[in-house]
Amino acid sequence: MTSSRMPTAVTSSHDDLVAAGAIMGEVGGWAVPLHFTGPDAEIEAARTRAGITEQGHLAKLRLQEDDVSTTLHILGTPIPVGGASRVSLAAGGIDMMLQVARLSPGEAWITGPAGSQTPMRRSIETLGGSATVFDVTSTFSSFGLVGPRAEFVLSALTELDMRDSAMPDGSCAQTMLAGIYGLVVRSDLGTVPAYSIFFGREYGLYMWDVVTEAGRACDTAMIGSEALEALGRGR
Amino acid sequence: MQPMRTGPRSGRLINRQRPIGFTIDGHPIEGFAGDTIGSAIAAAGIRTIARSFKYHRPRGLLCVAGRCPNCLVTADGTPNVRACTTPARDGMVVRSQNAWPSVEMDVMSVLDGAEKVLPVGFYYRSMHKPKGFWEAARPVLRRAGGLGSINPDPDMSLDYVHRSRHMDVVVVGGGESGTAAAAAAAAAGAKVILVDDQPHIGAGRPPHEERAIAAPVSGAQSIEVWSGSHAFGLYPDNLLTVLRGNEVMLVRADSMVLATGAHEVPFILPGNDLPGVMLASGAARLLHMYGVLPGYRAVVATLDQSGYDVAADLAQAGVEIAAVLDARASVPAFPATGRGLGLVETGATLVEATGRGRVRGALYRASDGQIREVRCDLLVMAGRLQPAAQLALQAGCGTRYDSGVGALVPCDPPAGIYLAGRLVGTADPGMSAEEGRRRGVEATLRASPTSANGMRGLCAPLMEPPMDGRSGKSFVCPCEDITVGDMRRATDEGFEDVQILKRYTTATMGPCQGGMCLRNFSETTAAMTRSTVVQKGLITMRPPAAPVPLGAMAGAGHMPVKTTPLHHRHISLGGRMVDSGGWQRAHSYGDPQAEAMAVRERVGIIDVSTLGKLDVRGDEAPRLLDFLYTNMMSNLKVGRVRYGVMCSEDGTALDDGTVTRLGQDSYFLTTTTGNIEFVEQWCKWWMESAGVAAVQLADATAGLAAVNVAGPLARQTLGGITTADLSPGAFPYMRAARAEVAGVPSLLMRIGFVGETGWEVHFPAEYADHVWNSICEAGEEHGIRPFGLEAQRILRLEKGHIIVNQDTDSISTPVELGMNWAVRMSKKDFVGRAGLRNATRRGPRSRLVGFEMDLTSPVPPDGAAIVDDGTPVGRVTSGRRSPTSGLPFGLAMIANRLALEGRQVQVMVDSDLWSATVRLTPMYDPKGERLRS
Repeated sequence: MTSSRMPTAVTSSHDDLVAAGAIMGEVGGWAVPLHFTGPDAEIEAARTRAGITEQGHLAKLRLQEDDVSTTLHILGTPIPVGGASRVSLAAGGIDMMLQVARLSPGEAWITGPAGSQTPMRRSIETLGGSATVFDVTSTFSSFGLVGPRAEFVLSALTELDMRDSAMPDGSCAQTMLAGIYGLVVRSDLGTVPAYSIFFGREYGLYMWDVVTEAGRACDTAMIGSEALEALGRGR
Repeated sequence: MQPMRTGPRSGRLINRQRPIGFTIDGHPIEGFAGDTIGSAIAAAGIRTIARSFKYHRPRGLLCVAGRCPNCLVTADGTPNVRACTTPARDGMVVRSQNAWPSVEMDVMSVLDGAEKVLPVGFYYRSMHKPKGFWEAARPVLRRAGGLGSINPDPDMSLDYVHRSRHMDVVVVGGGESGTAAAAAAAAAGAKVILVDDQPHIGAGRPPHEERAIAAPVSGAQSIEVWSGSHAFGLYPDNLLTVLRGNEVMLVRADSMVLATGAHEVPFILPGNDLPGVMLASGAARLLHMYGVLPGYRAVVATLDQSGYDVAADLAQAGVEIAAVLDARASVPAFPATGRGLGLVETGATLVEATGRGRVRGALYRASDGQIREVRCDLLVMAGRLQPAAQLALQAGCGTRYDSGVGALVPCDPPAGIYLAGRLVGTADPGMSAEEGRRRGVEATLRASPTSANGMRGLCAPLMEPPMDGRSGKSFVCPCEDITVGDMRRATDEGFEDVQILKRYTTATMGPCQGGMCLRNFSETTAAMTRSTVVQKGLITMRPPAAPVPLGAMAGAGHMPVKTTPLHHRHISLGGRMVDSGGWQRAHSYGDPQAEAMAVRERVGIIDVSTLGKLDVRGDEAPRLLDFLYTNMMSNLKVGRVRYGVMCSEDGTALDDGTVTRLGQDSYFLTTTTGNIEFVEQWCKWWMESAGVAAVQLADATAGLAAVNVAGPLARQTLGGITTADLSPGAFPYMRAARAEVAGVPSLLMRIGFVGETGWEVHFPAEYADHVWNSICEAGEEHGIRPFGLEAQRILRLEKGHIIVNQDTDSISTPVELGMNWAVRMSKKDFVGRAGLRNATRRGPRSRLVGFEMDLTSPVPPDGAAIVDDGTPVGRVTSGRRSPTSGLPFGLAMIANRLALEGRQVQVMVDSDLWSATVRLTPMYDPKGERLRS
């Protein structure tokens, strides 16, 4: 047979998101929740309480080498261990905004728009990055936690010190999340605190239950990509 | 009926406009919103709420603060709830504990007269002989004593959540010093949590005091006030555990101020546990917070001014004050509130609470030495204080004697811990607040604490308290029913050290964890050993300082479960899900035998996403794999697949799987389900040890879904939806190729775990549903059927394929497993080479073989004994019934001498022996013709 069109990719929480009332759309080849109750209500929830967003569709690369700072320097983000930063990268003829986190001296974590993992990797190689690049898009699931009460939701998942002094905007940490290995990256949306948590896709359903249960105590709302983009634009 | 309810002016916490009702042991109780179970019961005029642990003596409200064991009940199925602090709810069902047939008439109260045959530690001395006696007696004793029954409903633990918080300063205690410390720390720039076990700050105090105490923290932005929260553990690095409603908070603080105060404890005298005997603070709480009269006619015995205050409050509420007995020989300035309180005697020592079932009078020694009695139905004990030092002692503080308190108080806190207020003997409210302020600032700045307040003094030997009286025993520890007599017997037996005495008597080890008895235990021990409390010291305090439900300890029960990307598909197909190596897998979809036959006769599909998958890249990858596997991997050609075994240094098989060479320096490894974390760590360990640097590893298990499509029609099924040429010449056995399957980039590997023509297809997890559906759609015309774990196990067993850790044990080497073909001893070195060389030299002691049984034989369970000539010679590792032959069969590890084709042995099933025949070749397709077709 001949090659056919790629189907739409789904995240580990796809069925649960649909069951939670998500209106799905396709972004970068992935089925993504556009909104739940409506962008305005979701923005309000994120500004006043906390919101949970699906981020499993984001492109994710893990960079490994003895000292990954060389590659990060080439990317224009000489960040220290435990730091995180946004960087613009021209990949596949498009300028895209990436999130780079330095996990350890020899490891970095890069996330980008859905479906961009291949151009991201090629760009890094073209720029002369010497790190071994693993595409872990399929391996890791992710949720975003946004809003002033996001820290409270996280308090049921991790013993990490989430105070501003220990985990400021632009920081990352490897930690245990509800008993499994995970990453936490803080990258605020303007004045709204925002965290991304990453964990093995095999725990996707488990973490959906854990995160939504933790969020219930502070009336956390599900947030779609439309509201998230608006928050990112500073709305 | 609420005969003990006061007029409408008292009872700050209740809402008289909102009546509620509940039952205790089936009897209706009326109350108001805001009542606790205990206050509503007291308002109904009921004095006896519970029975004691050992002697089944009646117990009533004592502290009304959740500190004593006197009011434990079962509320809505939850045992050991403290009635005095648990809010009453409309419709609640409350049951008394440890009493039959009722708490008023408990037949087990006959034990109250049996203390001579049931002294402390009687079971240590008398029940170890004859043999078996203790086993028989233990359940009887446990039933006779008790603290309610655990509710076995497993869902209860799900109500609790664990949360972690980090904070600049945590203050424990919401009194004058605690609130002042919190306010001062916040003013100095710290973010603060204030933990207090009372329903609100200042609860139980008169209104003007309550307002003054709460003022410093009310409305403060930087202070979180956690009222009604119990701090129960203080661990190294300032980790404080707090039970807050249904949450257990794990709080790490940069600094911590302990201002836990001091609270009243009972006097030690006969009858000190009778219903109607109350602490002054308890009586005041009942009156002020809930508007309930604790009794009609009261005697107040006091050591200080506080007794006059509560006597005045009771008198104002309508309680007749029969007497105020002040133990002080002379009162410096006669308290103004003492006027109009009836008989006021100084130098009067309370010696006994009299009555049976409830208090009916107070015996006291007057200043002239005469013993007199005053009739009463309420005996209030005031002024005997015990510092709430559990947390401070858990933190590792020392102790010093404070003559003001008359007891040991904590001192010399470790770095990061600060002590303030009545806990350390600072009694004056103004001084206590000032000390709290200082500690709050010091905690924020992490400065060394300035000197403490409090009165240091010499500790004098104490008089031994009386053992018994007309109305019974003198209790030292009300939780465990430990009396002065018990303490005397124990010290007479030589248990004089407080730590050993605690263990022997179990005093201080009950629900209050020393809250009501630490001081009394300490002083009684000192008196009986003719020493001082300073010389005896205090017992070691350990968490929990307050009772914590087991469900709260367990938390939400986060039990990480791995699921494949096809989990929902299996559920929708009716799959029975089981745990397998930490993963949820479909055991079957209803009929494992039929599923297995579908694979043998047509085509089947199984989700094998749980296989461990490792992406190995780098110049030295061939060298690393040669070192880790027993066979050669460096000579594997690109596009080929090879079976591999990993062994430990002694040659024991650790894991097996496939190795696929994707490029000159790129391999794709599969491992057994649930073993990927170990294999990855094993690889990294040996990379370091063997000096292999130029290799990068990545666990691809979760990122790649995988299905195995197997059966004589597998080629036809897959062929229509893949870009790969699946013809036998183009895609032979043990080959691999990258191709699209249903439009999804995939890796196809032709392998045959189940013994049929088949392909293992690996592809990105996000397309799992699409690929599965596409294959099932393509296979519909060929009769495709999903098969589960059980069918897979049957099929592989027919083929004689092993599962590591199922068919192997901790001493199985490839030699025992008959897998010498998978070992290349000619390699210079690899992990396990030396062990395998030794195993080969000595020859296998046992051997993994196949076996078959007659049609009428039962299927032997895993682990069934293999017997030869009446002697055990091995065990069944896997047993099933073959769907193709109908015979019971399996794999067994047997003595090597018996590993002969056709050898007869016996298998023990349920104590019966059944004949079995040893087979050295697979029972299905022994030449592998179907596999390679």
